[in-house]
Amino acid sequence: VSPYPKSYPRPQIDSDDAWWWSALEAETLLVARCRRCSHTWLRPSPNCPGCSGEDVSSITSQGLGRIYSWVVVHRALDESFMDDTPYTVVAVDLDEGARIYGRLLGDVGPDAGARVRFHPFHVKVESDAGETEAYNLVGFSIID
Amino acid sequence: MPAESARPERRATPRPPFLRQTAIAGVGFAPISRESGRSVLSLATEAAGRAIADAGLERDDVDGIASFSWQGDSVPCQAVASSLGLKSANYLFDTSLGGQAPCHLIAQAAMAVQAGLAEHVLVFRALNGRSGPRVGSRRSTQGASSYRQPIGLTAYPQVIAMWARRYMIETGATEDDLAAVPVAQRAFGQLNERAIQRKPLTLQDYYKSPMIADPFRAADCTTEVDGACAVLVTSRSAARSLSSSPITIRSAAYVSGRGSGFDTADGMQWKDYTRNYSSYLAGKLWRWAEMDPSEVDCAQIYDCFSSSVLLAIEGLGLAERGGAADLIRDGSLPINTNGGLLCEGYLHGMNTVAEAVAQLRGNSAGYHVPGAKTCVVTSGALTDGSALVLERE
Repeated sequence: VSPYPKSYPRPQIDSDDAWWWSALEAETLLVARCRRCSHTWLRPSPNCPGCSGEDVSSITSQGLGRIYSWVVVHRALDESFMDDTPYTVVAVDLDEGARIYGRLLGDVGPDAGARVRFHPFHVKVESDAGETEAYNLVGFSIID
Repeated sequence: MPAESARPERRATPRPPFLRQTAIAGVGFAPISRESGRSVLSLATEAAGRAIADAGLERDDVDGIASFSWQGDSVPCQAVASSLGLKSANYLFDTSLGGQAPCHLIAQAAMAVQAGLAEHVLVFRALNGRSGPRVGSRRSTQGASSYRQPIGLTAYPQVIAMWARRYMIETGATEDDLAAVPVAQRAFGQLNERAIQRKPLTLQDYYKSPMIADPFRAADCTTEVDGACAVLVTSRSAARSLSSSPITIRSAAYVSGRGSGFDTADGMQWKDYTRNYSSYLAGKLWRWAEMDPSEVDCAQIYDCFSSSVLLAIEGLGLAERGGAADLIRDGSLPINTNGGLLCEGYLHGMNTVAEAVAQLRGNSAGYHVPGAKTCVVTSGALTDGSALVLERE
């Protein structure tokens, strides 16, 4: 799926989730977890949305989950994705409890409750300076 | 399992004092088009001026303005106050919100009136939403958008399509059920001279409409437009002296529940895509209205996309779970009588409120509901939103 056009929407990484994106660079999917109430969630945030506690840690997802819903995009509304259509984005409930969105990879179409496995999904973009920027994003494939 | 709204509230919140003491006395529009060729300030000023005149007021009577914008696509209330040449604006209230805002801002304006901060408050939405920045293709850098945009989940139709899909999975709703919304609304929209989409739409036409974000076809999606709409909020007593048909604010509610997320489109923490905000404000809305949902004469339901109507009908209790499309097809409750945002165009739901007022005054832009006395209105499609119950005296 690379290289992506220059116009590609880069992830906006901030101080609340830099650790999550770093792990993704290393092909590891993390989930924010509260040490006080054990709530798990994404995107990472400074306080637990379950109890507002500040003791936020993370756990490594095993990368397994179930499809909660999906969309098949036929008409890209952002020019960067015009060459990708049709493509499918799935909402996945990870076994660790958090929900996340990812590109559906592979040939098997989506189905409610289907088991999926995480695959990092690599994109390369040419920056305005002419250098190559690379990102890992979240992808999933259906497993039997 | 019943929605949370169906459970008794732990503590019954007393009815807010502005309800039944405040009213809507005027509405005004600037033309809806695909290319206005005008500034947003010009559109806002025209709609505001028309709402003031419609209420039978002079511009110097108005001393408050509230509005909302999305990523800076509008003009501040201060600019509109200056453009109108208001003598003294004592309440100006700008918010950075989208479709969840109109009913919410009507309530804010009504509270300002009831609290004595201002006497007559305009609520407006103005934008060049088609020829200027378009919400469908514009990027956000807020909240959880980095967990959507880089993988190609860039726009609201794509996000809300996932809600629609899950609703179909859980309730057994079909594409025919989604189609019921635009097909029924187009019949009303055909009557509406302001509507952008006025050609007849049959079920067959619906299926010929190009797929955008499965299960949404183009016909399931609102049309981005340029334009402006304003509503004038005042006290009930002032409205009575101004108009022969004052429209009282009988109930109002807003909710952003736990798990509502870090930005408007964030659904990563919202467990149930088959129930949006409407399921969580319905309890308060009807209790404060001292009405049962079955008692309203019509409904104006925020419809950026078809499925948003189905979720809100069920969330408000106007139909049983999975029964919204049948309610639309049987026509027993007229819904979105101007054709909705799907036909009239996307003024982010300000025009949804305006149609409720017009309908109760007997001058709907589309289909006139004989003897309509009460109307429920909603704003929003996702995890937060607002609603009103309006009543003709």
